[in-house]
Amino acid sequence: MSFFGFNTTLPRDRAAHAPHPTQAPGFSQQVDAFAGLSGNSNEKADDDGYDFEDTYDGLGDKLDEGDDEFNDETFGGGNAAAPGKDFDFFGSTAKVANAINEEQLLYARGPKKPTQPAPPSYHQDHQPKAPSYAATTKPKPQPAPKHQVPTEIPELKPEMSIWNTTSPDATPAKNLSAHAAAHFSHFENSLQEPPPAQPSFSQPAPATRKYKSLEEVEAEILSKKQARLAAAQQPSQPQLPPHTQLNQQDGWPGRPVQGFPPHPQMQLQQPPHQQIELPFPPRNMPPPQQNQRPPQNDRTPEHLQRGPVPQPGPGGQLPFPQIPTNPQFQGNNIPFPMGMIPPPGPPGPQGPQGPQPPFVGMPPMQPQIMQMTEEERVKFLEEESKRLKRNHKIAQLSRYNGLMTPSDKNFITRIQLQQLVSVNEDSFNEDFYYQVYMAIRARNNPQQPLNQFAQTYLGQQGARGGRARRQDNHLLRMQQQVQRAVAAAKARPKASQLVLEGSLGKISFSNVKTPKPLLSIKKQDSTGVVEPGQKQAHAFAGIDRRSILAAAEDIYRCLLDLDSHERKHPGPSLTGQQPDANTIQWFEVRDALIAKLWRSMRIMEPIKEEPNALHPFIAILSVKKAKEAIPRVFRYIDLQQRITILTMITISLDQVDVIKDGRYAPDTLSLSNETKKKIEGFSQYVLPPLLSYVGDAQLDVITGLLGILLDRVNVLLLSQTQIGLAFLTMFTSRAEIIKQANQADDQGVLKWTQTYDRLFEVLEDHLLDIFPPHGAQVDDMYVWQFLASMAVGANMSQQQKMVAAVKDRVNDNVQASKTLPQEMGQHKLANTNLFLRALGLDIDLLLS
Amino acid sequence: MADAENGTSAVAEPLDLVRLSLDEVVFVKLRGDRELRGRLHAYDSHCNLVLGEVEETIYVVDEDDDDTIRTVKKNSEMLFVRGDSVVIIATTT
Repeated sequence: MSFFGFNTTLPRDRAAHAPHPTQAPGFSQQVDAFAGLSGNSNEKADDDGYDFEDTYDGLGDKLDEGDDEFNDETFGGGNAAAPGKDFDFFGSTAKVANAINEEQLLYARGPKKPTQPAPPSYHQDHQPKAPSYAATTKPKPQPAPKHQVPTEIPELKPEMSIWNTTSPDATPAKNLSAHAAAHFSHFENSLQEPPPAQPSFSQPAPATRKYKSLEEVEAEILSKKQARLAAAQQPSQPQLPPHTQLNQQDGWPGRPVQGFPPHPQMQLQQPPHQQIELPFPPRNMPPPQQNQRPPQNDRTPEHLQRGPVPQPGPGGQLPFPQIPTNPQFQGNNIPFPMGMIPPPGPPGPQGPQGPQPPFVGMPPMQPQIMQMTEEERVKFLEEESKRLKRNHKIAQLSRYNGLMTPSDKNFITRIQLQQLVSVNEDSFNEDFYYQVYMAIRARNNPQQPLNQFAQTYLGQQGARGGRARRQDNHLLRMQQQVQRAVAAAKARPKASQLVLEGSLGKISFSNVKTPKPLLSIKKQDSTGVVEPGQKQAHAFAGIDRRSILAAAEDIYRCLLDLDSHERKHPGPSLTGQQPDANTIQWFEVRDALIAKLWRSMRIMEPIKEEPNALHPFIAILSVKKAKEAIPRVFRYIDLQQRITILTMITISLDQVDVIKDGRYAPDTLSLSNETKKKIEGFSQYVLPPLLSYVGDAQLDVITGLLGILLDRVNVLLLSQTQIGLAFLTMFTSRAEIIKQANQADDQGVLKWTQTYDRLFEVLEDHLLDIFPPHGAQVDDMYVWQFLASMAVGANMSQQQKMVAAVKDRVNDNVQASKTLPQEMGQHKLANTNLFLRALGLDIDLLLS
Repeated sequence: MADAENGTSAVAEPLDLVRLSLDEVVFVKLRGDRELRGRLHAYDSHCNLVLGEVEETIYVVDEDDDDTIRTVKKNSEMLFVRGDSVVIIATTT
């Protein structure tokens, strides 16, 4: 038989008896087993042709020779003509249908061991195989069977059109449409009842003639499902499919592309055919696509899951002709060349197996599945699918396992640690201004005084710290660890000197990390051995500007320290609860910092008696930024310290730059811009905190302060400056408020009155001098405020003197207000009115 | 002692001298024949500066007119000066 690669000239060439050439492509091991048998039987039939001894393997002795009678019937042995390409499978098979059915029954009744192929099955197998192999390997003229049966084979064309399968081959025409119809019904049946499916597939052949026997077969098979499922059965099972094959494909001569492999292979191929739209038997394809789908719907997921899992064992593939039922998996089969799919090949079977999980799925589980009810099976399969999905996922994830080396991981860890540390650091260290800016923008009430607002954002920080403390804890620990590690790393290469034994000196070396130090400049924070007196002398000997600036910077340094410390506020402790160690420590540190700040103000340095000696604090105060620092300082210092500052300023008031420079020089009409700014700064930054303190001060304090002023300071000079007048106004008005509120005892009031009288006496004759020159153009409100405060506290005679003194000025202002623009005029009148009202008058009286 | 501490810590490195001039009017000489005079609001280790109320003076050599030098003055409310162009920072008194 040429298609087996054998010498076709053998005298008694019989298609089915040709020994299988094991080297024939597409031949499988499974078939090889039969090949041995066939070889032997062949040998018996004709001794000529080739040397038997060369090929005989002795297996023939073990053969059961008894069933050879029907060989001719089965294989059409009498017909020596070449099968040709139009081998008639159906016709051939139909002839032996009875025998086949019997064999089926036989087989079904007596389960056979997988290892011994049954002779009958062997016979049947070979019939279909022969043509298929011929087609695949060598398209040579094939045995005659085709000629025998054409009559039995009706046209297949109509079917094809029905199923929309385009078949390039003209051969399908020979197929039986009726037969195909029978197939469909069988397929449907088989699909609906998965277990019997296998038999149902083998039915087609018998179906046409011996329906009964098929059912019998089914029953038999069902009863022995488990036995059949064992892998051992594989060889024996093929026997059934062959029938199908024969029946179905009888009309198909071997095609050039894909021959008809033994049933298992063929079935495997079918899915690919469908996909590729090959002309393969329409009868098989349609069912899967159309008829079979509905019943299979619930099972499709199973197929899907099972697909990826390699199905070992030939057992799975062989018995199940249902391949077509699994349309989804046809894709899997495509890669396998037609007719070349190795029967036991793991990937190939997937397609066919998919549809029939219970049977084919996983060999070990089959028995269980078989025993389960439909529900259980579905459930089981679902679980199974989940498991497989999970495995698949895990496999996907673990694809990159082991890609990173330990050093890679260390590197990543380092980066992460660094980020952790930097993120964890107080955000204020990173972007202080952004934080404050955002805090300012988030300010609820834009009218909120800045002073209070500063508290707000400091407090906010405290709260933040409290909130984040717990979480910070372990981060903090880690941070410390890292810092320790860094410190250790830094410390290691510290040895920059080497002392060689016997050498006279040290050899110092440097490297990138520790360059040889050419200069050693150390911060002397802790090493300051300078005597206080010495330093003081140095700092303020000439009260040079640099010392003043340095002192001002010190104040700020302390303030910043305090501010940042304030942000670490442990949070308000509950009342009645003992503050924890943290809080106590915080307050201790805070006190220390405040003390430092206080010292940095140098306010406690003794006042020198020399006339022109400038007190350090006053000197520092001359710097703008020092003035600006006062409100911030006042936040931290206590009452005693505040009064100290107030006193110090009061005592040295005539030395304060804004007073010293604030007087109008005899011939100048206005102050210099710089001085104006200083005055502005002083009244903006220094006066408010002082005022707020004075606003709460007792009368005796006020009296004492005014007394000091009168004693030590040139009040007359003072009165000619804006700031000086502001101080005087501050004292007198506060005293007046206390007096009117009856918050002071008589003695205090008496004392105050005496002091006031002294002040009045000093100023009495110079009331006009307190006005700035060109008062008409300059804002002289502060003067009128002062006059008003004086007038309120003045007695009748004093009031009369005041009115007499400033009467001209009042008139001037009234006149000026008329010439000035409306707004400024009103302002001037209002200012003047301040004073008049204090006297119980009103500007309207003058105007009218 | 504490005073001494404060005093010395105020100037520990060159830039601390600049720190002393914070919020003061400083004179800054820049590359490219420019000078600035303004209030020092901020600086950093690169001598990047933020100045307020700045008066900038640019010296231009007038080649047409016999190489005479003329000055161009500009005033800015606020100015950021990149540190790499700073030659001198001086206090003004």
